[in-house]
Amino acid sequence: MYVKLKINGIETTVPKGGTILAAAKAASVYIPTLCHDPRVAPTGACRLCVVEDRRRPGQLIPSCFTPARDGMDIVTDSPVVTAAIREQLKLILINHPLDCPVCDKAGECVLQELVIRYGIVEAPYTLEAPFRPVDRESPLIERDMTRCVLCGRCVRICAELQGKGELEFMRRGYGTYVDTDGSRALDCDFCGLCISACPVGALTDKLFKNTTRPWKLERRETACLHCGLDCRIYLNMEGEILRRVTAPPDKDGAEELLCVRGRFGWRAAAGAVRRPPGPWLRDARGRRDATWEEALDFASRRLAEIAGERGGGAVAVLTADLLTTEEAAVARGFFRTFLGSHDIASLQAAGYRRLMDQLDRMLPSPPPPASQEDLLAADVLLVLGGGAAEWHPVLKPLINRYRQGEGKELIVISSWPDYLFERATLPVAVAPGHLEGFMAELQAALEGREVASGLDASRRGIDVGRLARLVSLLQGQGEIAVLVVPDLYARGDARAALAASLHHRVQRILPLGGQFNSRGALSAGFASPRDFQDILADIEMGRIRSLYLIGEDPLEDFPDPQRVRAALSRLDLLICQAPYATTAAEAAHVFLPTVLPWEKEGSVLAVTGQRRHLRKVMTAPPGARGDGEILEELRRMMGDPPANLPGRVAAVGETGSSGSPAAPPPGSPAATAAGGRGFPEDRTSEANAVGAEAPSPAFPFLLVPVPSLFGDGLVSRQSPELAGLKGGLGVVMNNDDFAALNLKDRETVWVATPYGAAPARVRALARIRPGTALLLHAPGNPEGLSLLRSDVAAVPAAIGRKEAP
Amino acid sequence: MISSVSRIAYCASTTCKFRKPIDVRGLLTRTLEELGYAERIGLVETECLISCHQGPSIMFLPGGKVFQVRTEENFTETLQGFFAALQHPTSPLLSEPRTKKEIPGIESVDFFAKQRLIVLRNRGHIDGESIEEYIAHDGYLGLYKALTSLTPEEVIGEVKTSGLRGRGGAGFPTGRKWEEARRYRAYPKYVICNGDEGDPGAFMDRSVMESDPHAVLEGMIICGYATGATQGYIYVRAEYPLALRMLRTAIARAREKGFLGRNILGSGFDFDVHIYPGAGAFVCGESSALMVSVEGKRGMPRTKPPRSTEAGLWGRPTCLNNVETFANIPQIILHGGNWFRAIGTEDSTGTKVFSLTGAVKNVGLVETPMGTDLRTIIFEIGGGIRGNARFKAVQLGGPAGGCLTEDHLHLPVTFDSLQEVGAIMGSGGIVVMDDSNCMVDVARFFTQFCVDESCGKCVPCRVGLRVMLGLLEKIILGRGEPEDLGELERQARHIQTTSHCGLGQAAPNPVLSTLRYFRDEYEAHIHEKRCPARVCVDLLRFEIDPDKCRKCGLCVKVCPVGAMTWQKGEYPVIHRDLCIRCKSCIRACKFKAIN
Ligand SMILES: Cc1cc2nc3c(=O)[nH]c(=O)nc-3n(C[C@H](O)[C@H](O)[C@H](O)COP(=O)(O)O)c2cc1C
Ligand code: SF4
Ligand code: SF4
Ligand code: SF4
Ligand code: FES
Repeated sequence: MYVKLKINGIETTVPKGGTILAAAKAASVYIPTLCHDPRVAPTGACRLCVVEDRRRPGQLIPSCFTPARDGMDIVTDSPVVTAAIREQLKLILINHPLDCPVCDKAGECVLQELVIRYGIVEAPYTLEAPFRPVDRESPLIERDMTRCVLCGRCVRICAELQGKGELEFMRRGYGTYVDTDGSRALDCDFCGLCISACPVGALTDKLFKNTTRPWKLERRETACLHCGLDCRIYLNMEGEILRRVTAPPDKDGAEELLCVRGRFGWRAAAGAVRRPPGPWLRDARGRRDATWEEALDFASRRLAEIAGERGGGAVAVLTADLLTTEEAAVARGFFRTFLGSHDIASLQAAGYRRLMDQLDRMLPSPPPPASQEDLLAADVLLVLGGGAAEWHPVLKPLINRYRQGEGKELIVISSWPDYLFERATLPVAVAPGHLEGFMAELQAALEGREVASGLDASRRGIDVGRLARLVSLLQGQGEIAVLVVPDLYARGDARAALAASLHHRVQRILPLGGQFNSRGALSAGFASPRDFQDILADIEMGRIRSLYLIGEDPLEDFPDPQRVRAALSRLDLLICQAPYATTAAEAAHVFLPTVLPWEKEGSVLAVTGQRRHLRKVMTAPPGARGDGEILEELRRMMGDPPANLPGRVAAVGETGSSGSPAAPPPGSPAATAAGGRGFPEDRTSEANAVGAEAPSPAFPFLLVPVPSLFGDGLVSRQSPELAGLKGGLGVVMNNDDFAALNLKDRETVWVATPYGAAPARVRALARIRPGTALLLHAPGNPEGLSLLRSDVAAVPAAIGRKEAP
Repeated sequence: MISSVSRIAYCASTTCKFRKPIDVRGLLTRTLEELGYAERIGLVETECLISCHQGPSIMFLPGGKVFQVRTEENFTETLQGFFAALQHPTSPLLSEPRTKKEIPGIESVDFFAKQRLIVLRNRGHIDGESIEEYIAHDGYLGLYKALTSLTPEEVIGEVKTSGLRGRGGAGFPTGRKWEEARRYRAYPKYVICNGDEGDPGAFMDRSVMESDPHAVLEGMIICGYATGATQGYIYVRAEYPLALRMLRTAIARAREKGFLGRNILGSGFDFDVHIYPGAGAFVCGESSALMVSVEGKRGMPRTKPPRSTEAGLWGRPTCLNNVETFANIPQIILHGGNWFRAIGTEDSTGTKVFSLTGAVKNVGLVETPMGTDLRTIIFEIGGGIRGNARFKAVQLGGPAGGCLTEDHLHLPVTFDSLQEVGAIMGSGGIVVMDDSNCMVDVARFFTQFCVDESCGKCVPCRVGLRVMLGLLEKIILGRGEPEDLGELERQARHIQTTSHCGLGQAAPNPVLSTLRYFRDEYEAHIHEKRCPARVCVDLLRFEIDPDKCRKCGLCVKVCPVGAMTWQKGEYPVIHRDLCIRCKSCIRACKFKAIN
């Protein structure tokens, strides 16, 4: 259904319900706007978008929210309209500081543009200035409300899309202003959507402040590094210097969605402190800087020796999935085919890779792409596991957009009140440690199989009424999309199995937790079914003699760092190839500095299944090389494949841990098959516990490590801004538990588990199950990691003021 | 004996208490006790029995004889005298025992004779807290009729026939609103009663909620039945504690009697009502802001479409009406739409309750058929101007209404009749002004109100009104320039045409109407730096006009700081260095001899 109307005499059509403004856009007619933001509901505050209908002269119609109607004869530039717009601008200019030369917004300020366009030269009114707060205390965002035009875009975007409601109008009338409650510094998600919405210089990016002028910037499009959800970004470059990150325009011309990591985490790439200028070697005499030739020569010789002696199975690889898909193919060729290694795992993407592997094996065909739009199109969104929006924070605004649709259902099954759980139309709370068991039972029940104990909801702490609704929604008519969310460290398979079992009913299945190019690496076959848990055991048993780290650091990204350190020290060869010199780099025999994805060209496959070709958008540090380039060089230097060397077959027999068939020859269909299908059916960990150890009098709490909004990955951790927002190890408790311990918000407490103790900053949350505590920001924090074990979803813990036993 | 009196209704309205701080309830209780009648004669608390200007009134029931309590002295004798007089039902005339002044029956005074009570019919006659009394006065009969013999469509048809238009100000046809709300099929649907009543000086809705809360409830329940809603909300100003209490009681009683809750009167229809104490801002009375406020958010008008009847409270179809609108409904259903439309005018049917305040003799609530002219309301019902002052202007329609003059007094008051001359009937506030008012100052007062109450959302209302206020202040301070009047007019039109909600769109009315009818006063302020009504302090010279001064010396006595001196037979002298410009002398002078 379309309506037909005229705008400045031009015939145009818009879908029924479309606004006059949309119709004008379709007719390429300009209408000034200030409070209009297509991402949020209209408000009608600025009254600049007024137009006149020739049939009713003199009546001014705000076009941004008035629907176009058949037969309208709209004029946008009549004398009446122009006079009204000019008057509006004059009113807005009252008390707006005329200090554009020192305002960071100058050059991209909507108000400035309008004033120039309408030629407002006089400022005829003077009125006393009302009170307006200025906040220079908040991290990352500066709020100078003297510049605010009260369009309310920040208020709306924060409440409607980010779901935070951090900003609100205060007072009334001429004295109205925007502020936080209690006029405090921001304590929010720091998504920066408010900055992207502000048409003037009232909300600005502190990292950008006073660095340059907007018109000097060149925008280079690339993808965000901090997770694999495919957020496009613009690097705003002044020459070769990165000044800030913004999002490219969406289909309506407003900025696309972005999260705190994407907008403010860019100093992980530009000017990060832990990026060494060149390779180094370590031997009995200690560490010394080396040339690339020396370093590669050493690495290739040692690799050849070990693989030659013990077979390729003695070499294991950990990858952080920062490789382009092409590089991943090179890496696969090098490690699997050339060296004969069969242990290719990831730490940061361990959960994701495991889910994908599972689904790959259980689904008749690999999960199809599920773009952000596809998710919005679903009627029922089933989220298996907590932490979806913490792994991928852009899901917050995305899911809020989804929820605005009529009749949309959001089912979240989680053992902690994560962001989506709190907004679910059907939240299903499962006691920590029971999630996997519940999923398995639910699957059995949905398949009509008899469950040993029955679907014993009460045992798992589940509301039976909700369960019934859950089942009826899953069996209903609507289009269903499933998000499968991994735990931070535990290895559970039941949720992937449940998702797979629904495949004939479900339109999209989207496993989450993937890193930058995790899906691309899988599609290139740079993967194995084994994870670091298995590799660690093999190192300890002496089966694996060399560990090749590509962007990963097991000392920073795996529970129990003492155990990992002991295991690493047993290795004959530890190669660390990474953009940053993190803890493991100091322990490595060889360190090879690499470039980051923005500093190279190649393609990427997002977890949503979107493929993108990325240009090189930043200059690499002079001492760093591309991962693919390094691996190709190693291979060249090693000459013959070690597979041809004597002793390899024996070595494989010796390890005997996998019984995996030999890797397919390069170029064979199996090697290039998309989705990394055809993995060996080796599931040593099938029987792994994923529950929780029971609390005891000494350790009365259950501590659940959960992902952080501010990024747990190694790249995110290099951003001083994100690290600052995290503020170290954190623990979140139930309100009553918190009160019973007489704690103060954010005070430092001791968290102790049977495995270790660590100081952490404590906060309270009402919806957490009593007796449960969430542990935040453990990745990268040795003390935090020492509290945990990798194979359980929760550990018993004690929390208190005094130092732990 | 006194068998003819079964109860005494007394006025408990704030207005009366303000005029004469007499604890009428205490006084009556004590006296009846003393006379031994406490068992036999009940007391009914009620709202505004008659003109409030003389202090609290009491009314004897049955019969409706009204008496104003002027003093607590000798009250026992006074009351006894009454009872004695009341014993002779044959005597149509009663007189006040002390003054021998005739005591009128409530319907025979001018104040009431010209009124027609539909909405206020029960005021004072029943105890608002007693559902039985309401039922005894045909209460819930309309609901019974609707539920047992009318389909929802027929109920809507009856309301449409009645021609009832919303009493909250805009005058939207109520039947059409209900029909729309019925049409949308999204559930649950809501009914909201707007009892925010933010207009300063208006208390029509409060009076109805306090004296006849069941009528409002009944109207809402019928609306719920007609529109398919199951949940109602009454949004009441938090400053109306008595209304809140009466409504809470009424809801509890109605639930007990089965008029609220599940399966009302066995019809299968479910409906319940909750009270929402308002957030206190004037703009929260605007329907969409009200709904946003009920949702727990800052009350700011939202954009339309969609209309509230399609997506209102929590995005569901919502039918919102004013208190007085709902209070009309039971009568309409009971007596039929045609009965109602016979009252009032063609386009504005029924009656309207006004709150008459300002310089008239009888201030108070007035209910007249629509179309009654201003002169009747002000001079017959209102009794004309108080004191020896002259009528100057009448301001109608709340803070954003317009000011009219003597020339307009013949105009009938309906929704549309006053539009042409720049005023509105609005929700029914009528402020009468005598010649002691400066119209520039009056315009400034109302503009200030709107500046303070603007929600701050849209530019013209938030900033434009403040600009207008600045210009008015400038004129009042004697710094006005000739261009300012044009500028005021231009800004006013701009605000009218580009503001988002009714507040901004109507806020310039006081300025525009005074500029239209009292332009000379503005000009005097600007060109002669003179305030003809001698209100604007900065334009007063504090000089004695020898032509007018009769050398009486009254002014000298009232000066609080001793800034005047006077010798008998001489003109008084004002010592400027001591004068604090308090205007006591100007107010005191009977001959308007001080400028
Ligand atoms: C600023 C503003 C304040 C208002 N205040 C009230 C009010 O206090 N009470 C009221 O009934 N209507 C008020 N209204 C009118 C309502 O928006 C609405 O039109 C009315 O309540 C609808 O009920 P009705 O159709 O029964 O009149 C106000 C409107 C505006 C623009
Ligand atoms: S940064 Fe995001 S969460 Fe914080 S105030 Fe702005 S929009 Fe809201
Ligand atoms: S801070 Fe910016 S976005 Fe927010 S209301 Fe003010 S001008 Fe608008
Ligand atoms: S006209 Fe005034 S009260 Fe109404 S929305 Fe605009 S600012 Fe708010
Ligand atoms: S853009 Fe339409 S009112 Fe602001």
